[in-house]
Amino acid sequence: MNHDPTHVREDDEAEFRDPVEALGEELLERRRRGEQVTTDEYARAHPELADQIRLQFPVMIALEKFKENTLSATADPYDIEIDTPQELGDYHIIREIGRGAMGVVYEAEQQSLQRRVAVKVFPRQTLREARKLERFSRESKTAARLHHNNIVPVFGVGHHAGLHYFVMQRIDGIGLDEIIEQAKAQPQRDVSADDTHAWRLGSGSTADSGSNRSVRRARWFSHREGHLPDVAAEPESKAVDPGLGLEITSSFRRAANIGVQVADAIHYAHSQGVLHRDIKPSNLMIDPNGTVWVTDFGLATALQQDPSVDRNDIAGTLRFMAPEQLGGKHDTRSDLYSLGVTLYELITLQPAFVAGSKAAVVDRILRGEFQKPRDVRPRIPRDLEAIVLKAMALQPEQRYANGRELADDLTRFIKGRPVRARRIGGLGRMVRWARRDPLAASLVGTLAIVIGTSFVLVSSKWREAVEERHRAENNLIVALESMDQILGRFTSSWMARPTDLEPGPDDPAPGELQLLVSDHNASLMEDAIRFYDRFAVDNAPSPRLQRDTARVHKRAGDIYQRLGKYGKAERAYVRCLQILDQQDSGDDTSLVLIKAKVLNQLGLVKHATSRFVEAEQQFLKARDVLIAQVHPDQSSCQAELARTFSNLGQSQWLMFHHEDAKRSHRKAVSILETLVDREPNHLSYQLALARAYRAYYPFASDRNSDERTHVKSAGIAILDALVLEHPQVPDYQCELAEMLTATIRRSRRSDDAQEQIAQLQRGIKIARDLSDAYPAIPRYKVTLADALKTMGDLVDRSDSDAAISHLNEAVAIYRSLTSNFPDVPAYHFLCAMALREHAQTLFRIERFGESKASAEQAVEDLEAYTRLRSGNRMAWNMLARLHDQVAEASMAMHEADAAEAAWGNARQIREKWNLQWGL
Amino acid sequence: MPGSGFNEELVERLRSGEEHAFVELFSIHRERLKRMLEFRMDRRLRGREDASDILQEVYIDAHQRMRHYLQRPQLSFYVWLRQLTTQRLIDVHRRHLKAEMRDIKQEVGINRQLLAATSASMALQLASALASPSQLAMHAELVLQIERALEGMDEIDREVIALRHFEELRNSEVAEVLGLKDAAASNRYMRALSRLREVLQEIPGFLDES
Repeated sequence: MNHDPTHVREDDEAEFRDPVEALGEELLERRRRGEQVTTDEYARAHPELADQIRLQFPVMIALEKFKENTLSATADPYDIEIDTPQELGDYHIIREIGRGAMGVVYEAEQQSLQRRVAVKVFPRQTLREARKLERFSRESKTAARLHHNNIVPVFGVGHHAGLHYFVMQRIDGIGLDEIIEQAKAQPQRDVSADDTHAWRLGSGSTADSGSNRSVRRARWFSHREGHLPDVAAEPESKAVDPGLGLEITSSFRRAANIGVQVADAIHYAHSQGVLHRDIKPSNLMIDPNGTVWVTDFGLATALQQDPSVDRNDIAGTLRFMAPEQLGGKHDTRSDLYSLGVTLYELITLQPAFVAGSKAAVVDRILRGEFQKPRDVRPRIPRDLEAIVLKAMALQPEQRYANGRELADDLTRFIKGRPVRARRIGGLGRMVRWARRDPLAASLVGTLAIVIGTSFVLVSSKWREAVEERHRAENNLIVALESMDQILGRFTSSWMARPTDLEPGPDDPAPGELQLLVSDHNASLMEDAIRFYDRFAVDNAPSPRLQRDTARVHKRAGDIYQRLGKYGKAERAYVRCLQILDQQDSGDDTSLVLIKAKVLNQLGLVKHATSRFVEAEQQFLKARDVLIAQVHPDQSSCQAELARTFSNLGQSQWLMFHHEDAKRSHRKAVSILETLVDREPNHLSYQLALARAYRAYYPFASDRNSDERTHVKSAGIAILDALVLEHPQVPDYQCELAEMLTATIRRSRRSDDAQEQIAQLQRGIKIARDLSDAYPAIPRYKVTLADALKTMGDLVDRSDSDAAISHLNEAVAIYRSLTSNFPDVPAYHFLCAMALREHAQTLFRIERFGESKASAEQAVEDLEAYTRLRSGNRMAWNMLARLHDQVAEASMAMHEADAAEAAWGNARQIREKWNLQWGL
Repeated sequence: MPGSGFNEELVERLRSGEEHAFVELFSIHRERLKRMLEFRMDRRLRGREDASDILQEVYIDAHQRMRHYLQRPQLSFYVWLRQLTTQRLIDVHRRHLKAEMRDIKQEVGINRQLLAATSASMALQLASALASPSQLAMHAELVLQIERALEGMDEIDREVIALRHFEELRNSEVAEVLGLKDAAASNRYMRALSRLREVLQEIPGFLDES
């Protein structure tokens, strides 16, 4: 075909759409919907265009087919064609008894044993890949090991003429999905009698008994997707005793009994290490004796199309899937959740999650948005509702821990004893509030899992919920508390705050849901926080509410600080202090403590942005607040005081107030030594003491080398112990790496030098592992870069190549930090310092050109720093020195003009800031 | 339901201020947008940036600008979302490539061109599906062939193919995105198909329908 410019122009001036293209668009849309339409069909339907269609459509279809790696993505799951032979090995096929997404089920006779069995045959393409086939046979072997009264026994698997099949006991029963359908069809007849006869499906009936009360057409295995119109294909199913389903579902105790049996079966399977993954009514068969049979254990895994679950195309029936399953996770509690949804449908005769589209169903599941059972049918007993709601809790932690617990609670309900589900637990207040207000409940759930696109919606909903004027203050308090809890998960202790001593009282316990601190989460949070801010201004009628609001701001500040967003952190802390200042602290220790903490945090933010004088002011305020209060002797106040002195010392040191700094650090050490003696089990005091040692280390006496050695080894020993006892806390490891780096001293003695290198190598390893594991946390990156830079400094006389490679890496890390956080001055500063080291090392081995380039880059970074912090003399002094360095390198290369220019720059700076050489 | 670009009912519900409709509308298009992102993201960024994260940002953008959009919708909803997504993607590219530029001291123009479907990425996508053991041997050769065919095409034609198949846009949407008339988009598409066919029919089995 032609494709020169003339034709392009012709195309662009064409007046009509190509008719074949229009048909092609239709073809593609139909195929994307899963219809199996072919080129041939179109060619025959449009003979006048047939030639073009036959040329173009195959290309379109090929493009569609190959654009994704999953070949089966567009295949219609129900359009399976299996040419099943009359014989499958030992099995003689009698008739088809069911058809579903996964395969076709036949009744068959096993000739060697002369018994009737059910054989499930899979479409060829399902198991085409060796990997899937292997998984299939492994899973079915596991399933064959399950022996339980409520699990359909699996006899084995086999393959014949390329077809794979699965042999099970033939169960004479009816699918629970069908029972529910039956009951739905007759909603008016409400039978409340506890008629045990109705429970039985006609004793002794077989599939073909012909009895009116029997199930004429028993379905062994049905795999219908809820809305697919396969009812028409099975007209006999109407012959099922119409009252039957109703009998079962209208008797809530019977429903509970079904639940007990399934929960038992699930519990047993879980204890054998088998997950079901696809619990839903159609996988539950009820036989004439009222026994429930769970089918297809493990099959869902084996046959899952793709491990990465596509939100729009999930194998199995969507509406029974647990929220975490939609994200690709599945554990024992997900099976329990699916059972909860099944029970919900059984007692309400309504699906829990309905919506116009799959995507909308997914959205509701993720938000846990459904009508409460009693809102659907008020006759449902409260306790049964509570059990179902607990089984269906959005967060796995809030569900029953295992099948046994669920079975037990259902049994309690059947026997009329109080159920556990209604007891109020740790999150009790929140849950109770949530029950009163499903809107807010879904909100809390969503906030806590931060999934998908719901966060913005959440904050606006939250707003609605709380803004309703008539709402009682109590509700607002709970709302704030839960918000605080949620934010608390961001800053929980194991992710650890960089500088806070105390884990919050409401930090989640280990094992509870944790949220990763990321820019993304933080930006999502902002909307909610903005609302709180306004809320605090508009409402704030009680001190309690105000304090809760303040706490939310502090949380937000902590998160921002951790993310290096110092501007936002500062605003949050300032806002928090404003609210706290309106409160009368009196002799309220906790208020004083919060205030001191926030002052310290604010000081640290200022410190981190090199505003040392302002930082010192905040720390001094914190000190005064703590000392002035009524019970200064309390441990928590002492700890905060120690932290204040440490912070103070840091700022003083950077302002060159050496004696003040030394005094402050020593005070912190002595307060903390007392505290650790007093409460040896308090981990945070130990951590604080280790930090205090590290800070004091440079001030420890050089002449009396004992003091130095003592400080160093005591600090490392504390952290070693913490890391050993709490391997799951990354910040302890980070502290250790920082300690190992901070206590390196260059030594002329070679044995000592080896020891120093080993110590630092350990620090680098720890820091590297951390920053690999938590790439979003800048602190770990800084720790690593600092350790690398220190190593470069340490070895540059003995092995300059190694030194340069360490420094290269350090520079690269700082470089990525400066580009990701261009408004954080410290990163520019640190980057410049690493570059300076780099330049010096290169100079020493006479690679002058590279040395000059590094020095020039260092100048650039330090200039970036001084643009942000123009009042910092120390930085200007350093900048002048960097210019000197550029000049020296230029001289070494005989570039006198460049050198002169650099010296000129240095001179200018020194004159302007009245700096002397050397300082 | 990819394929239906402009859902009148939902947009009407949006106009009447129904928040749910927005979530729903966004979810409907989410997969398509994600595919678009994955397809157009610079290969160097794929390990570092997650399409879902970018979509979160797009969601927020869209949420904020929705009112404005609804006042005078000049684009269909999907095309509008796509535009916001493209903008975000450009930002992401800019951020990363800037950081890289400093290291390699190399000027790279960052603009919309960067996001155009490249022959290489399309060829890879097409050929990767064939990477079964027996086909692996021809894989490299295949990529090269397809790449050549795509390179030989008019740039806009290539883009039309990408939009129609990888992003699953309708003809009218393609026209909207590329600023063409419907008829022009349609004819360009047909010409591009013919061109591709010349190459693809040489590959055994490629055009088999089953």
